[in-house]
Amino acid sequence: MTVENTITVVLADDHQVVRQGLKALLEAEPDLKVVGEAGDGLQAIRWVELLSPRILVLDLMMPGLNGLDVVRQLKKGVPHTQVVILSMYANEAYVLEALSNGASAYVLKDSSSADLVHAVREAAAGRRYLSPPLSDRAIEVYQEKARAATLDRYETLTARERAVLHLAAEGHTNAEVATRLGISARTAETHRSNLMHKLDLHTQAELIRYALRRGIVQMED
Amino acid sequence: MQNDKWKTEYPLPENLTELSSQAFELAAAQATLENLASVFFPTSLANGRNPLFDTQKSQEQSELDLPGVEAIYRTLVEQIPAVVFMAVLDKGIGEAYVSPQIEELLGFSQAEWLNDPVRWYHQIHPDDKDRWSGDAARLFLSGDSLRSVYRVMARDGHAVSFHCEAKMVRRDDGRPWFIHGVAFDISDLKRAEEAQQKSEEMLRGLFEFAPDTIVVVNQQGKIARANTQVETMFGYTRTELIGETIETLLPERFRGRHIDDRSTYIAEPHTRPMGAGLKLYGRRKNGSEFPVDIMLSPMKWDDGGMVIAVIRDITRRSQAEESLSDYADRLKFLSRRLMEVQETERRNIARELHDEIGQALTGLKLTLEMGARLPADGARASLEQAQVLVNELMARARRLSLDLRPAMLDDLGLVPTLLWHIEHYTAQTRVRVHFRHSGLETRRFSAEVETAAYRIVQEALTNVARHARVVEATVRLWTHEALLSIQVEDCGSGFDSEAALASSDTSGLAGMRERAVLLGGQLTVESAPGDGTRLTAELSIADSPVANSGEILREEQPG
Ligand SMILES: Nc1ncnc2c1ncn2[C@@H]1O[C@H](COP(=O)(O)OP(=O)(O)OP(=O)(O)O)[C@@H](O)[C@H]1O
Ligand SMILES: [Mg+2]
Repeated sequence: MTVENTITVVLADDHQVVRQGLKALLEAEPDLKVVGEAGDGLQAIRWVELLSPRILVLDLMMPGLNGLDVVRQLKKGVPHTQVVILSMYANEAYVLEALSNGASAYVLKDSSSADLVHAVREAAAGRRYLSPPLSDRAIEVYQEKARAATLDRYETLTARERAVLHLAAEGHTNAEVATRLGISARTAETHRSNLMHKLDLHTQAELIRYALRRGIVQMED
Repeated sequence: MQNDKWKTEYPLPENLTELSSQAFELAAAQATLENLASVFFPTSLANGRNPLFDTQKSQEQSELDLPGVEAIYRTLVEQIPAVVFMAVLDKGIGEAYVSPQIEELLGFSQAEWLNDPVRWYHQIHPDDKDRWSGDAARLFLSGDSLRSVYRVMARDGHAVSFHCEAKMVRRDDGRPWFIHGVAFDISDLKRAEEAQQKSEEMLRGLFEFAPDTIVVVNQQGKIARANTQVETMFGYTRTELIGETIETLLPERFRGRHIDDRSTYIAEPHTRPMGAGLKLYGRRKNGSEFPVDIMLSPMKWDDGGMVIAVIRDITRRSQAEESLSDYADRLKFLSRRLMEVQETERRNIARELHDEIGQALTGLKLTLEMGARLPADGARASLEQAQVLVNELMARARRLSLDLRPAMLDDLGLVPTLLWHIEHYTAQTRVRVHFRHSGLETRRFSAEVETAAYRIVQEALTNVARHARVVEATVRLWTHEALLSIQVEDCGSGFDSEAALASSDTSGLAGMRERAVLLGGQLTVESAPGDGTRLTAELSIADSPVANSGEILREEQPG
């Protein structure tokens, strides 16, 4: 095995016991060499900039700059180094965040040691790797779930506000709305302005258009 | 007093009879000094002699028939602190006397006055001239003594107030002979009077326009005076109250006791607040009551001792105090709950560490020890067993840490953390959650806002699982302008939210409300038994700084 084929690794984890374990585990492989060890995020960045290793094995949870911060920083300055994230959390949100910030692999701490070695080699080869049960598919599912704008603001209206919206869209004045609902004109007015605020409507015309679009009222023929 | 002495020691000539001359009547009808002077001083005899103190002792003196008064009175007259004057009525204008004190008061020398017998008339204040003329006419006609106050202008132009007393003396045959009199400088008195009047006006102003009701009560407890405030504060008119007992203004239940207290106070009056430490109430005409503060002070009045009561309506202050003490109670309750919760949490962690992690570690230790004693191929099985134990341990430690506080909230923000939480919640409770949000996908808020939002959702969902008896719930988060709104809704059993929020037995809802209020927002709970629950919290994100260093770094990145 030539030196050129050797994959250089910097280890970053705030627990020395863990670092020792990881080092023993990686150095048991002939093609892997641990060239530096860091106990926190800043040190990790310094070692990486200094040694330009092929791989940074990075604990996600560290005091001070955490793993995610470190990845973000490194991707600016040291694109050559691939980052393998080591994490307790089999959580797609973390994986997504790590990958989108430039990490190559995401390895769970309770997966097998073979898994980590595999991840390091994959990352060194320029491929992406996720520990099972994580998968690209699971991440897509998560992204779908987390997508915004799934909120229908109409749902946030109270029952009273919905009633007022309905009547107001039919062209009733606040006073008329008030009599119909048995409330004071002032309260009707408050409901109306609250609901317009919630739905981001500013004029009576907008209110009617909204009600028509939502099928709250029908066009009169 | 010297003045009085002078009066008694200066006997008036006898035989004063009614004056009935035509001329006087005519003069009186016109009632001006000039007219009178022309009557009294028809000729300008100007012999420079004084009928009283003529030192020449001429023949005329015997004619005047003033037996030896000169020596007796001169000293007296020139020493009393007043001006003595005299004018002979049948001797012409020159026959006048004025005592030398005049110079000190008005700046004209005695000689100047004597040389110009009508000077004094010219020196009378213009506004007082008519009155003087009328008074003089009465003096001449009726013979009544004149007693009045006139202002006389001094040489330097300032006015001096004189109290004048004058009498007319007639001859035996009834002809007016002379007038004499005395004038006291009462300027000081006048000024004092004016000052007194001013201070009285000021007092009246203070009394009337004080913001408090002021009531003056006599020894019998009857209202003698009251200011206008009493009308607005109590709804009675003043006329209704004057003469009524002060108890009219008290709620009926206090009246009996007040009568006793009042007598005690009258017996030993002093300035003090009433009913120290007690809650006092006033009663309006319409029967309604309001809280008051009362200050009492004794006062001397025309007819004996009076008591002034200053009554202040403290409705506003009481309300403020009440809401403050409400708030303090709530705070006390919450902090007590907080400590309890903390204690429970610690107990749980301790148990977890001891029972779960401690046991597992013991198991691991035993397994490894056993493995060490076994031959190489037997040790392998032990190691595999140890591996299983270690994985379990890791999972436990992770769960424990997440339950305490998900690091994810700091690392990734609200949406990922809530998604994670909801997943676990559903797994544990079998309650499905629909999570809807808008406006916060990648947005970060301050740590306080994110923590509050997370804890509110957590607590609200816990309530749904514990109380609502449903299999579904909806969580909505949205931002609008400077507010982050959090809504948790279920179609379950519902409850009396007013009562629950007011009760102090639980801390869930109260805690949520406190979190929202602390962040400049509010908590609204719409619920009714059988009607489901919709809880909405609004948090102000107006000046919410970004949550963690990661966000700051990300912002620094171009693009
Ligand atoms: N979603 C809900 N559906 C039905 N009832 C509810 C709901 N949320 C709250 N309640 C009622 O309101 C009461 C007060 O709730 P709160 O969260 O303050 O207290 P708790 O859950 O009983 O106790 P804890 O202090 O542990 O939270 C509950 O006891 C329950 O009766
Ligand atoms: Mg609760």
